[in-house]
Amino acid sequence: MKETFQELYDRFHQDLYQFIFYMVKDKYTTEDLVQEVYIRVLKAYDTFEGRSSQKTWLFSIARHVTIDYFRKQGRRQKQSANRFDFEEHGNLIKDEQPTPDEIAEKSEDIQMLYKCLDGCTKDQRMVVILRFIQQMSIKETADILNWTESKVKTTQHRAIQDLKDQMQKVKGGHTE
Amino acid sequence: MSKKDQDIENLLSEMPDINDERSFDEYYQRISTQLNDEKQTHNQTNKRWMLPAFVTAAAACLLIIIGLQFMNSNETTDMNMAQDDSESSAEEGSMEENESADESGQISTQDEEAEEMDILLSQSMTVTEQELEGSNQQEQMTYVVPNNDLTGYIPLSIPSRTEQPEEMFNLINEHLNEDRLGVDTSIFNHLVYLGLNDEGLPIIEVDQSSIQGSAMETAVINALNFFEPLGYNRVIVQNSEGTDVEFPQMGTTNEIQLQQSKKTYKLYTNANQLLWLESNMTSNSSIAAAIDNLKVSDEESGVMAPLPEELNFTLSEDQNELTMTFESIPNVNTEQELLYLVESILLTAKSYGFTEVKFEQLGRDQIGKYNLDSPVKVPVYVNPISD
Repeated sequence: MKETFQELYDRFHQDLYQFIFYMVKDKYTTEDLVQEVYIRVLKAYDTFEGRSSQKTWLFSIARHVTIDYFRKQGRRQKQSANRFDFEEHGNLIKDEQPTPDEIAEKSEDIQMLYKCLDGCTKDQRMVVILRFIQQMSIKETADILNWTESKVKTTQHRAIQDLKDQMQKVKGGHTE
Repeated sequence: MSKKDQDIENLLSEMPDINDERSFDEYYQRISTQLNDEKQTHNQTNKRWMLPAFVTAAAACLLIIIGLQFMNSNETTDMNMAQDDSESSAEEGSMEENESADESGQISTQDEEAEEMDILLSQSMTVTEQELEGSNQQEQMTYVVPNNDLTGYIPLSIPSRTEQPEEMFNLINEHLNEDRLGVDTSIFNHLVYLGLNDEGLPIIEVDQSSIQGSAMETAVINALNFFEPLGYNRVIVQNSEGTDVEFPQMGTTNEIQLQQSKKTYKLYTNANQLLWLESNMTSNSSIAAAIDNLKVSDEESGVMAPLPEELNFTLSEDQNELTMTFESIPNVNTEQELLYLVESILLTAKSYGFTEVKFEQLGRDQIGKYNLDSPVKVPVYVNPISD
C-alpha cells in the first residue's frame, strides 16, 4: 500500500490539497478531507486502476468528498461561508508557508477575489479552481467533474460573470 | 471576452499556491491507522446498519409513548376548557398549556430525528404488484445511477409525471436530489432523449466525449436501461452529429440492446439514507452464488450485507419459482433485518428471472407487507423515492 500511496502523493498531492483548500478554506478541514480522499482511493485502488486516468479518478473522488463535507455541514456551513471574512479568518490558514492571507497583503484584488469565491455556487467554485488556480484544461476539468466540455464552459462563464459582479459591488458598483 | 473577464481570470491564476505542512509520513501513518481500525471494526461486526435501525426503533417507541401521554393530557385539559368553542382550538390550547419548554424541545428533536430517518426506518424499499393494484399509484420510472464512490449502482424509482414516460429521462435533475440521496446523477448530463424514431424506438443523443473508459460505458448502459421497463428491448444512440457512437468496449454502434443482467442487492447507506445498491454478477453465475454473495459487506464503501454470514439454506427451482429453504431460523435481531433479508432475496431472484420466491422454514409467516405462507411475488420497483 505504501508504494501506491507514495506514487499518488508524489504525483497529485499538491494539486489535491490545493483544490480542497480553496473549496473549504480551512487548513485542518483540508487535511482531514485529503486524508479521506486517500483512504477512499486506496480502498478502491484495485477496482479502478487503469479504467480512467488516475488524476481524473482521484479528483472525482475529491469532488465527492468535498460535496459530502458541505452536505454534512448543511445550512449552517453555507451561511457561515456566505459571511466569510478574509481578515477575520485569515489566521486559520496562517502558517509557515505563504498563504492567501499573506499573499493577499500584496494584492487587495486577490484578497477580494478570494472572499468573493464564497459567493459562487459549489459547481462554479470547482470550475474556477480547476481551470484557473489549478490551470487544468477544459477537457481535464470536464473529465473530473464528469460533465460535458460545454457545461464546463458555461459554468466557467457564469462564474466569471458572478465574480466580476461581486468584485464590482465590493468596489462600489463601478461599471465597465 | 471582455477585459474585465480576462482580469478576473488573470487574478484567479495569480492566487497563491497553498502548501501542506503535513508530511507524507504523517499522512501515511494516519491512513494506515484508520484503515487498520476499520478492519478491526469490520471483523467485530458486519452489521453496522443495525445501529441506525435500533436507534430508529427506539425513537419510534419514544414517539408513541410520548404521543400517548399527550393524548391523555389533552383529554384532561379539554374538559377544563369549556370556554373554547372549537375542538381544534381547545386541543391547541391544551397543548400549549401542558407542554413545558423542555417537553417541546424533546418532541421537536424526536420529530426531526424521525423525519431524518424516514427512509432508514422500518420501511420496505420496494413497491410490489399488490401495492400497485391496491392503490392509485402511478407508473414509476427507474433511474439507475452510480453511488458517490462509483462502487455500485442504485436504482431510484419515482412516479411518472408526464403523459409520455420516455420524456422523464431528461428530467432526472428535477426530481432527484443527488446530495440528499448520495448518488451521482451527472451521467444523465451526457444523454438526451430526442424522441421516438419511425420504428417507435427511443433515440438518445450521447455526448461522445463523455464515454472515456469502460466504467463510463457501463454507466451509460445502466442509465439507458431506464427504457427497458417501458417495454423497449433496444434504443437508438447517436452522437451530436447524428452519427454512430463509439464505445470503448462495444465499438461503434447506433443501437444498444437493453437487457436486465444478473445482480445482487445489498444495503447502501449514505448519511441518513438507506437504499438498495445493485452489483452485477457474471452472466453464468448461479442464483445460489448470488444469494451467498448477499452475506458479504463492503463497509468501507457503505455497502452492508442483508444476510447474516452464518445463514445456511438450500435452493430449488421450478420454472419461474425459486424455493429457499432455511436450515435454521436466520439469526437476526429485528423485524427490520428480516424484512431486508427477504427483500434482498426477492430482488436478487428477480434479476435471475424468477417471478416468485417461496420461503420455507423462515420461522415466520408474515414479514412487513409480505405474506410468507405462499410464494411471494418479486417486487416491481426498487427504492421508491418521494419528492
